[in-house]
Formats: sequence, structure tokens, C-alpha cells
Amino acid sequence: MLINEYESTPEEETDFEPLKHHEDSKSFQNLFTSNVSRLKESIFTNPFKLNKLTILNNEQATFNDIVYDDISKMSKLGEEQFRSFWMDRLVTYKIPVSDPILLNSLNLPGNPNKATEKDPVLTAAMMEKLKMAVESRRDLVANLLHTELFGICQSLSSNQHSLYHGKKSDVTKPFKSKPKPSFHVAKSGIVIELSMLFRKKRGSWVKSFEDYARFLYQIIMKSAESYSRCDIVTDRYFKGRGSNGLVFLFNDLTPFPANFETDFLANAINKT
Amino acid sequence: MEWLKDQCDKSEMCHYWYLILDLMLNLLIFVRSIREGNFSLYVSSLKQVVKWYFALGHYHYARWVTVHLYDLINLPSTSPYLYKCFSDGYFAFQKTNRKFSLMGIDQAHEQNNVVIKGMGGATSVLNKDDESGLARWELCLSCLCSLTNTKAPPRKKRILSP
Repeated sequence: MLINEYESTPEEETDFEPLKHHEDSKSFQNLFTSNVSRLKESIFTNPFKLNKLTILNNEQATFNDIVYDDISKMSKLGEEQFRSFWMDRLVTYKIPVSDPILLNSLNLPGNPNKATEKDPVLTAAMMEKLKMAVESRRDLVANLLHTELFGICQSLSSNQHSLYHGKKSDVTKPFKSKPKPSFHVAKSGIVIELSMLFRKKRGSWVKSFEDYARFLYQIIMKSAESYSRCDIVTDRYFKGRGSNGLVFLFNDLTPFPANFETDFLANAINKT
Repeated sequence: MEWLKDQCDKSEMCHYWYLILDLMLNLLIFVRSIREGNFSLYVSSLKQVVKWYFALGHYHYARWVTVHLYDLINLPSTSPYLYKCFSDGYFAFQKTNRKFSLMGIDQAHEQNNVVIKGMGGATSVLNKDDESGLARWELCLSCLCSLTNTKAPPRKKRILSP
């Protein structure tokens, strides 16, 4: 019955509307035009007038000669490998098709383990570019993103050679999420972890907790004297029974324990 | 292009960009061959590209594209009928009436997957209480499988002349 129902169903003649391609839209065309103009802006000199192999938007960054040698022989090498694979594995059956194919060790731009990584000229030029991008344009992020390639500065790319830097939002997000520094914020500051100071050897004049507080105060003031702000991070211990079962009972005049530096909060019983 | 080729010996920059341009043009020709359903162009463009797979160490592509090429080149002797079908443009899939919008069969398969697995596809049929919908879907599936297994020749004449 079900099959009869299926077979007797009249075939519907449907006229499919030709689907419009997304590249036909005006917004896509505008984006493409915008990208091309930005690419044009990012290339400062005519690249075809440069003899050495150079990064497009930084003419000071020249690739090593080894890189060019490998690029120039790459096409021919691939052609030879293709022909030998064809003959040996598909025509004469000398080697099985599944045998591993030997990989070429080429020094190519963007290959992090190759000579480009070690090239001091290239690295220095890139570092200089990064420094310039950070120092001279710190507050001009929008301008920086507009004038650099595809709106994204090359110095932020993952390998510093590739023309692809990821999505624009990947790069702009860190800038947007960081609040701009205001004039009310101190220029510099120091954070002192107080538990580290407890391990510091105290002076022989420290006899009580009051003396020890004075000792800590001196160290903190000396450390923070060249800063305009000092934050101290510490835990707070209340008088009475602590969570570890020990009793804290002291006041300013309580004699200071002799083994404080080594044994403070170092209860071996509770170690798990 | 000719100017760039002449400059290759003098300038490293020109040589590099000539290689890039050559690669890009081969890629565009490959896309064109599929979109037009031009089989001979498809084979020749693939032959131009395959050396880059070897050079750049894409060994899976290098191995299997070469085997694929070998099969395609030997198709006139191994399977003349299939070669004729492919030469008529049936190695690609035409979904619309546009002349430059053919796509690879794998791509068409992926688009069919969306229809079956996506919203309103098989999932919604299976979720319904009425079991007859599921039965109809299974019936259709078996028909599709049998069509594939018997290697049915293309029934409709294509609009595009290759």
C-alpha cells in the first residue's frame, strides 16, 4: 500500500530559481574593492623594481639567499618527483604506490624551522617594524589597522611572514578589550607578596611581634620607595583556632618564635 | 605575463611573483574546468598543479592526485563509455541553469547532506510520531542506492554544451 502510494504520487515539475552567487552581491564587491585599495596602500614601493626577494610592505626585510635558491628550484623539483612517481609506481611498478614519499627540506618564507627563522637581517627588520608599530602608533590603533595590509598590521601575524593574519576581529579584540590608560592611574607600581618576606632572615633585634612588624615595614618601604604605588598581597590569620587545628594566641609583646622563617605555615601533619 | 617572464632572470622578486601568478592561474583554470564541465581542461590543469603537491610536501595529495590523473588519462582505453560521459561534462554536477555554475560531485554531495541532515531534513522526519514518513524516506534512500550501484547513465540532456 505504501509503495503504491509512493509510486502513484505525481512527479512535481519544479522550476528552480537560479541561485545567486554570494560574490555577486554589492557588499561583497565593495569589500573586495576596499581590500584591494588597502593592499595597494600597504605597498610603499614598486615591488618589481626591487631585485632582492623582499616582503611587500617592508622593503627592509629581505629574505636570505637560501630562501630564493629553494624557491627557484622548487617547481623543477616537484616536476621531477612527479615524473619519477609516475614511472616507478604507476607504469613500471618498481615501487608500491603506498611507499612513503620523501619530503623536501626547503627553506621557504613562513616556515618557522628553516633558515628564515635564523636569518638575522630578516629578524632584525621584523623586530624594528614591531617596535615602530608599538611605539609610534600606540594610541592610533584605528589608523594602524587601516593603513596596514588588509587593515591588520603584519607585525601581529603569527609567523611574521605570512600575508594572512587571521580574521580582523581576532586582532582588534585585544585592543578593544584593554582599557585605555587614564591620567589618574599611577605611572608605575609594585606588588609585594608578603608570604615571601616571611622567609627573609630577620634582624637580631627582633624580639617580639611588634619588632617584627617594624622589621617588615622597613623592608616594604625600602622596596617601594622608587614607586608611586605599592600593593601588598597577604593572607589574614585571625586569633583563635585555625582551620588546621592550631591555636594562634599572640599580642604585640609576645616573644617572636625562633623558628618562624622555616616553620611558619609549614605544618607537616596536615600535608596530604 | 610575458614581461614578468622576461624579468625573471634579472630580478628575484619578479621570479617569485611569476611563480605565484603561474600557480594562481592554474588554480583558476582548474576551477573554470569544473564550472564549465570541461574534462580535457580539468585533466590538463590538474597535471599542472600536481607538481606543487610534491614540491611542498603535501604527500597525500601528491600520491592520490597522481593516481587519479593516471586513471583519467587511461580512461579512453579502460572505460570508453565513462570517458565519453566525462567528456560530455558529466564529471561535474549541474544544479542550476547557469552556464558557469557546475560543481564537483563531492561538493554536490555535501549540499545534499545539508538537505538530509540539516533542519527539516531526515531529523525532522525521524522525530515525527507518524512512522510512514520514515518509511517513505527509507524507500527513497534505497532507490538512490540502487541508482548508484547500477551506474545509471545520465538521463537528461544537459543544457550546457561542453
